[in-house]
Amino acid sequence: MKRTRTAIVAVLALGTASLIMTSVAPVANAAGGLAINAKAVGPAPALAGTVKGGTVNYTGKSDVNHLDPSRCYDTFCMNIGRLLWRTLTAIQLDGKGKQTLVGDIASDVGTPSNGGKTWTFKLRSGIKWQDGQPVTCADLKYGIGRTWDQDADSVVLTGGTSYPQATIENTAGFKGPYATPTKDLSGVSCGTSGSVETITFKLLTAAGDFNFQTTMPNYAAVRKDKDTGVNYDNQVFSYGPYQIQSRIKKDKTILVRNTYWDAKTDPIRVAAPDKIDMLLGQDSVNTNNLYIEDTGRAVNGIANGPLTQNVPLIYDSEMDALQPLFEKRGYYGKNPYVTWLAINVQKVTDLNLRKAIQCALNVEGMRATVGGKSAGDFTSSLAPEGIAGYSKSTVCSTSPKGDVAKAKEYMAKVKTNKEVTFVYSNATKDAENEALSLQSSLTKAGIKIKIKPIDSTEYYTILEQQGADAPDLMLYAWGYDWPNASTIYPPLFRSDLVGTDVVGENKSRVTDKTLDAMMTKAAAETNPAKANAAWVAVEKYIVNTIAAVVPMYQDKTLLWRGSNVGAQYNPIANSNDWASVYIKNPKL
Amino acid sequence: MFKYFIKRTATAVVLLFVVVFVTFGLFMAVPADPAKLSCGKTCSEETKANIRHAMEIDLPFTTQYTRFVKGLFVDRYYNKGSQQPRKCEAPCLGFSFRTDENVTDVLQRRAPTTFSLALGASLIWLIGGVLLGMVSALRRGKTVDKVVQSFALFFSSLQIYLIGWVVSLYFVIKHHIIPTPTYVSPFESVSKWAAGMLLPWLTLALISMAGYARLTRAGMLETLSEDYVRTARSNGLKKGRVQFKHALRGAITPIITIFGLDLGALMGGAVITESTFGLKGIGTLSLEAVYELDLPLIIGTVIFGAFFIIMANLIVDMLYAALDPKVRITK
Repeated sequence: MKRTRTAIVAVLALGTASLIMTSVAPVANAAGGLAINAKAVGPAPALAGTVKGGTVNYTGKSDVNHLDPSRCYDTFCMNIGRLLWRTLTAIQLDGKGKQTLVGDIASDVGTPSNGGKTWTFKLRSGIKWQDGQPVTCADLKYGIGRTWDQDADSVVLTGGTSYPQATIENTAGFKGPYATPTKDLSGVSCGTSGSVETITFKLLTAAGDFNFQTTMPNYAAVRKDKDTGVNYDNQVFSYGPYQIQSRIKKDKTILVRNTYWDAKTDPIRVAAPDKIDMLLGQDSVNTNNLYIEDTGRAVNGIANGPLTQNVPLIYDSEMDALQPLFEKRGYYGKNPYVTWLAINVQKVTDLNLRKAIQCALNVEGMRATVGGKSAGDFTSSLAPEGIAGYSKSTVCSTSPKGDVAKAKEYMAKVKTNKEVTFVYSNATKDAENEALSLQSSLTKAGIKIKIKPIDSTEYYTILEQQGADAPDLMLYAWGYDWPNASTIYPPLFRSDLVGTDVVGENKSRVTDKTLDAMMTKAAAETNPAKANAAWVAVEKYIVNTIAAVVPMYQDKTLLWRGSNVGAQYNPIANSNDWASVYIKNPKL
Repeated sequence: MFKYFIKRTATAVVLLFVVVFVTFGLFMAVPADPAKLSCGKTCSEETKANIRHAMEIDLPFTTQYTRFVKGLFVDRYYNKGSQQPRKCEAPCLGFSFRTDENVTDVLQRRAPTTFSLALGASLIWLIGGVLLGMVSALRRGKTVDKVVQSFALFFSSLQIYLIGWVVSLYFVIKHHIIPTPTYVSPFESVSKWAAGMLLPWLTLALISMAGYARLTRAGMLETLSEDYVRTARSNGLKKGRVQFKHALRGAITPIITIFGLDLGALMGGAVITESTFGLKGIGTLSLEAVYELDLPLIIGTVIFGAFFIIMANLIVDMLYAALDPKVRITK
């Protein structure tokens, strides 16, 4: 998912309030990509020292956008929401940095057939709603079907991803349960295999990692008789370990135990605390100070992602000073977001000029302007380390300072040395310094470069617009939706994203049929090893063959937790993991 | 006087509609798309169009405006064609784009925090400011006067977001002398209400009090130099009676006028104070609304704020008219 430049600042801003936990990167399996366990059962792996009981606090500025799974599409709601609902599959954390795809509502991780166009999952028995009734395949199908409300003329459920609509067959013109209550979602069917319920999906095209897509909140159950439409956001009927006791949006939310939840059915959630107490709309600086002092609500508290956009960036010198404090409680390490320079290939048409830009860019200099090493670790891949599609290739120079001599070699081959324009948001002084650093490094190689500040309110509109004012160069950052390259490369480089007016997330404006074909092939591959190789080839094609981007660094996250809290970092949520958090001394 | 009252009230109502119209216009001028904010990254143009339709922002500006104004007087329905129609009872300000809540309900929920902040802080700064100003005026040139003047200069040059963070850090977070600022209904517990609002009251009052002290001092000094005050003293009236009954009375009129306007503005939301102390009032609500391009909430908070500012102006005008007949004749 997109990470705004402001958000990057926000994450870094956590620095004053953050501490180092083990720096984790996903552990790749032998085939590349994540480990898969088709037979995972509950209880979920708990952190060492986990004890039950107590109340864990969240004190912060932002609320989750939505708790309704059909509308949830940010990491905060995914992290908190899964305490109330479960998805067909999910990513299990083992507390040591290893992520594994496991069944959640499903008891397996799905079985593909028909060349990856049909997927069947067995459903786990014993999962119950908060009133004790069992969760059925019909509930799951109804929940998935709610996503199609986005296609209705008058949308009730705004937000949420649209992956299911883009993936699952829908021949009957189903547009969600409100607009088309009598129609059926043809691509999803329930059945049985012996005494076990199954759910089968017919897909529009082959999807080798469909069982990763089913980790998204759209693949959660909603019971029809409890569906209150737009109000479901505040009234989620739970089948997770907690249920809503009270909720006032942007103010206060309290979750208490769902007594019908059975840990033996759940390989994801430890659910150690008795209660989750969220106090929202709090000033970021005061919250930061609470964590620094480790007092009040912060003692039993965990931060969820960026706390603030107001606290200044943390620079290398400050990070060094804060290091001992960080090591006691918190997380300071890589997150799944990668920042890169996008080159508009429709305007910077000369491949040699694009290669010269790749070589000349002083990534180290630019990174220094936005926090230095706390901003991220240098990378040459658009995929974060540990997932399919990541490769340790070389863009031009092994040095993050760039290679001016090599850049000049490419410049000598450039037919017309036209001026290129780099745009940046005027929201922060750091962005301006970053732009100046970029200008300085490219100028050294003889590249004519103009930097152009854009009003922050218009910045993202300008980034995706076509025409004469379309930018030549821009910074962008992206993180996956599920840990696979299929949510990195296609959403960023598919040619159908590039229209006459806007380009969506395809900031490099790449319309390359060869690349499209490579991505379609990689996405359809059901063999993990072959899929990984195919995605690496895609990555190399984008970076090395057509030189559409310059990967810069894999971002870092700095997170707080209180001294009475045990927690692990959840890379997908880019936050402390709510499912495995525990209170060390529940009496405090 | 009655005719004047009717005329000023009618002007105030017209002004409110102008404010709504201008806010609508400004919102339309913003290049960002609220539908996009409500939509995920994989959102298609078709879905965005559907969301715009549901938000009714795909309608012409005039249609949106007239529907909104109509909704202030009669019930309004959203998603009429679907199985999930939503009724918005008059006076309907719409549903929040981001939280789907009825804007009127949100304003009702948030308003008590802002009212508590405004009333408590304004009382402190009014009483404190006037007292300090009086002392300063009556001890003109003395040490007390200089101290009060320095106090006024120092605090009036401070900003809430600076002093707020500092006092929070030292009095709340580090030393736990004052409870964490929070709003508790006075109907639930008066002591908790006062304790929760104490720090925001004091912080806001300190900054505003400084200005009032200076105003009172200047007004008192001017009045004390008037002939009628000197005459009163020469006629044998006691010093205290002259100072309080005559001098203060003369100086207090402009203070009350400014107080009315300040209070009105504060009732519309103390954005910085509420944000600094994490109070969920109208001020923070308006900030969130702007940040999230939540048009119904923006309009709601603007109307709410405008209502109190216009009302304060109206009351001040009425008071002036009541006190000074020349105002009625001139207007």
